[in-house]
Amino acid sequence: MLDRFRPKSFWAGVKRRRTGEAAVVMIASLLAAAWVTQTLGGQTYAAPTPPSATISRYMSTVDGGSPPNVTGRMYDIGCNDGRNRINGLEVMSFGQPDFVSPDYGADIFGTGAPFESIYTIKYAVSRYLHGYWDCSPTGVFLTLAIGVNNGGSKVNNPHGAAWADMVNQLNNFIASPPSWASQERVVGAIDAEAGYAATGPSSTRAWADGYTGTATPFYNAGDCPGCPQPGSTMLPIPGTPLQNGWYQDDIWYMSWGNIGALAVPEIYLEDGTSAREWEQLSLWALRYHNSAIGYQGSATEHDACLTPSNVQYCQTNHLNNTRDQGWSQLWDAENGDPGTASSTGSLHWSTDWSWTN
Amino acid sequence: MLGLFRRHPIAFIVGVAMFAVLAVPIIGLAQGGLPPRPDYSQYPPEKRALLEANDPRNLMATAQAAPPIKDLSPKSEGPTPPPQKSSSVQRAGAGSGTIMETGLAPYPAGQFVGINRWEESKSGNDLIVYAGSNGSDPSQGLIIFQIISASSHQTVGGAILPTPVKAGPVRVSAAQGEVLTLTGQNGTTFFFDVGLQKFVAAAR
Repeated sequence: MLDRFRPKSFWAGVKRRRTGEAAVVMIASLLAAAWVTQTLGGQTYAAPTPPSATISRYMSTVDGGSPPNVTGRMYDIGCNDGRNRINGLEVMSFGQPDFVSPDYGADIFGTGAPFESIYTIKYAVSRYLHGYWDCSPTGVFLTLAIGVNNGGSKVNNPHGAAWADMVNQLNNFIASPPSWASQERVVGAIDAEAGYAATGPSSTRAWADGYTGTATPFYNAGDCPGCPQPGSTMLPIPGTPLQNGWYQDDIWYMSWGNIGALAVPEIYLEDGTSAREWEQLSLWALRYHNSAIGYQGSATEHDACLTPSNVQYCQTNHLNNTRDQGWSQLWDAENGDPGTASSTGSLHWSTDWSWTN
Repeated sequence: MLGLFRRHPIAFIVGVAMFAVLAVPIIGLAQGGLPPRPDYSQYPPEKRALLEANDPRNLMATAQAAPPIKDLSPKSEGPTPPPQKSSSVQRAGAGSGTIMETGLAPYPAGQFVGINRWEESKSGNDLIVYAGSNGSDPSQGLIIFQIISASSHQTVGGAILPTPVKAGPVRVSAAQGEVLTLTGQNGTTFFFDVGLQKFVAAAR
């Protein structure tokens, strides 16, 4: 009754106040809805779809054919990969380092473990690159990581340097006219495993130091044997002892610590143990080297496990992670800790080992 | 505060609706789309540069910027096939095959650590017996037997077999025909019959 006697300015004030209140309610509702979603839904962002996987190969051939007319096995493999639009990182392991005077090279896998010089391997890889270029559609890009493991007695600094020189020469070859650089490049690789290096890590570190200096990185596709998992006690540098005199610090050096090192670690175990070990290594690196490891992807051995002699063994030992499982396990492990969650963004690649070549 | 919500139910509904309109597509994109963009700023400068140079987004941009028609003409020069060289791996005839002193095997060291191997070419196939130990339990000797087609290079058969008792890593020390003598680190001797694909009590 009294309201009609109040001045207009009073009603304008009320209106302004109610508008302000409505705005507050609207914003509060928006925030409350976001909070409820976050709290009840847990993690807002689910793991993304894994990238399409490439095939990595234990090389038992270096058949480059004979110019000018015979294409050779390596050309055919490259052509098939190109035709299949293989896109991403692919590792070729040429066995274990060797030196037959005066040439560095490698004893490749397969029958006879023949020594192949760096010149033979370079020619073979050039034939693969030619095949990929000839048969791939435009718009795909292959990063071919060619490497060795760290087994045997010829793992050393000069071998790493010779390998890097070969990688550089292959990239020069790619860039020579007509350039294939819009779709291909070559980098180094090493399958660094403590179990291969019974005499300790120093020769493997020396190989990495010899390699470094090239313009391209090398990718460690090795393992982390006996590495602790998240929740374990973190020992200061050199970290936890593993096997054959290796420590966490050595695996870190081959995967990240060396200036040219990147990693696509083995994620073989189906229960996620491998992924958690690499995650813990990254947390250890964050604590003692002030930087988490920016893993580039994951490596599985699903295809190798389909080989007749391996089927039962892989099943018994639960090594049969699929490509997607391996990648997702590593993503989940990294995402599970605030210290490494932002490193998931560099998990670009997924690759799967095969014996077929 | 609750009184405010009661006085302005429409504002409450609009607020929740705004959240739904804005948030659901963002979550949907994140779940089905690309991984989050890499954050390289957290890394040391030298690693940051390496990661950026090797980021597949940059590599793909190179590929997608290329002309749609490729130049398939041959390169003027390139690596040439060099002559074959012999390996530094020591070999010795043993039975119907050859013992090779190399631990090289296409297995991760966590599974298998090789000591040496025995090989034989037979009926269009290569038979290989890798000798060594279980990578996660060195006390357990292990052999890997493979049959590889010489023409297709595919593994067409084989098995992974632990030694009957733990005697440490084993090596092929001798062979008689296709029966291999394997010696464990502690001196225990085993016999593996390649034809039967199993351990046997003694050489035939």
